[in-house]
Amino acid sequence: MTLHGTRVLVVEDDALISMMIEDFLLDLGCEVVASAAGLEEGVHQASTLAIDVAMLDINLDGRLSYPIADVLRARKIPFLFATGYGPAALPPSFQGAPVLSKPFGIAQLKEELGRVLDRCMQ
Amino acid sequence: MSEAFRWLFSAENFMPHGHCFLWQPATLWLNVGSDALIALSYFAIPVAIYYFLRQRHDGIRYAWVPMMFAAFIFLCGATHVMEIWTVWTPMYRVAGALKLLTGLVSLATLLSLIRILPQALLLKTPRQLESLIGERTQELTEINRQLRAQIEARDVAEQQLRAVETDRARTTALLQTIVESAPGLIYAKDRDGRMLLANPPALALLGKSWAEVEGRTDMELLADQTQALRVTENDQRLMRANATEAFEEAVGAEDGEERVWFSIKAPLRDARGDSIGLVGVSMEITERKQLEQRLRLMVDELNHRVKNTLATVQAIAAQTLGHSNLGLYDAFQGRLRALAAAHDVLTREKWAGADLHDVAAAQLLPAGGPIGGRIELTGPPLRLSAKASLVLAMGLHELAINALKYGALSNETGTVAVRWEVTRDAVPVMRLTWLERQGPTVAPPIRTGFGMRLIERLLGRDLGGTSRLDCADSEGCTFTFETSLVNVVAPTGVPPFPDVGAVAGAAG
Repeated sequence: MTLHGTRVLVVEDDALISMMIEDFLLDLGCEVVASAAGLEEGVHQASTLAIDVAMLDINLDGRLSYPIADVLRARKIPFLFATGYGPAALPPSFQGAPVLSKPFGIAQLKEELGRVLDRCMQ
Repeated sequence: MSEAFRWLFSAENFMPHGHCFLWQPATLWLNVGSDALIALSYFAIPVAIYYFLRQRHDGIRYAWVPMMFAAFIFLCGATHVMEIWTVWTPMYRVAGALKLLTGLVSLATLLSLIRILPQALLLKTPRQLESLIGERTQELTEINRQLRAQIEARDVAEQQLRAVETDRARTTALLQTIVESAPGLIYAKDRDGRMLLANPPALALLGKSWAEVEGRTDMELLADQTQALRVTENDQRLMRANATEAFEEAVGAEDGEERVWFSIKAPLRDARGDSIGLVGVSMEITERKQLEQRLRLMVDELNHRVKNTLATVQAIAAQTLGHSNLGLYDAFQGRLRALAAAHDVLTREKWAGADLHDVAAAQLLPAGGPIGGRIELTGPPLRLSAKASLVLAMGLHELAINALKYGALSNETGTVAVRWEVTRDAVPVMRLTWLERQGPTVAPPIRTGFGMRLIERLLGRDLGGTSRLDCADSEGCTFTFETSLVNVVAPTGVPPFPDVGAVAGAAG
């Protein structure tokens, strides 16, 4: 499937990494609707913006991004975590959620985004 | 009566006895003197007998016999006085009466003598007595010797007993000192879990005196019933198994945190070896558990940072190179991700090493990746050291990239077989083979480029092995790497970092 025109919310506290992810997304034809660095900002954008999918860094300067995931889940918007940890580190309520292990390349991002959106479509 | 008395004492017409001596002085005084000497002697003898009896009054059984003798001798003396008296005064009737009395007493004395004669004969002679005394003395000496030996034996026994008592007292004092001054908990319970012993730290933990604790169970003593139940279950289990066990237990709380103890409990056994209770020692490890927790958090954080740093480096490279040199950027990014993937495996294995299969799979078989189905991994379980894991991961990555670009994975049909084995030589060798099949026919010259140099350098220098690339086969190249097993295998006994990544709350 094509990711062209997919509206994405990026939540990432590291500026350089967020720039790279945004570049990846643009290269894949996505539209980066917003890029948040903090928890409150992320929760606000996740609950108000019109988006198709969100990418969440788990550790936002020491705070966990699960509240953002809760909001997205309530709005039935798919999301994927990007983290330095593997899937084993997720709390029970998010077991099985899609996880991209940092560092990831554009190919992994494309693949994982495609899978998340696919699953959502079905 | 007075008539008879007068008759008795009258001399009438008798002649004094002196006439028989014709009043010759020599004859007369010879008789008178002799009679006087006899009389005096006879009077002295009863005195001597009386004196003897007085002195030995308790030892004589027939005292009346010598008394009879004394009377008889006294009367004999009296007849001799009468002999003297009748020399001048012819009272022969009195003299006769006295002799009659003497005769009667003599007869009585004889009769008494005859009566005690059998007993007298039974009396031992001095010689018999002497030999008897000799025998008795010998017996006594023997008894004495035996007694002395017994006394000596008893003295020795007493000494030993004292030594044993001293020893026991010392042991008891020592045990008491240990029990009372040991920093940990020391306690004993019977089969039903009732307290038989608890040292001061154990009493302090319970916050009770011994009087309040003795004979009580943990269910009665511990405030937290969940803790009490678990302790009781542990105790019952080891008493049933009749075997010593060591485990961690939570007993008590401080500032709302459970206190954790490392307990070693051994069954108390009766003479037949059956378990009749338990004795236990517990050391507090609450602080150690907290440190372990903190260390776990730190290791989690460190792993997270390493991965984040790799991601940041990747981002910098992306920003720096941008779209100007995609090939270079892809190669760089690939190598970075190879490192990160190996890191993931090691993190999952708590840095105690990783299985070769897992390391290879993380590099070569990314989930749903384009080449996954065309790579086959075969080999025995082999636990690599952390360093060997990273180096082999990098090496496999380079081989895979090369295969993707120029080798068996560059077309639609090629396959790669990765095989490893451990030889049974005296010094075991690990051999890893990368076998490409159905690849493009032309072996490209790029294989002497940076990738191969990296592989040779990494494997040769870091793992002390030799590698060989053989591209003579038309179906594809074969790469072989060999090194001593000790260079790659995980050292045994290396404890893993405590549960890295196991704390959900620290994820990020």
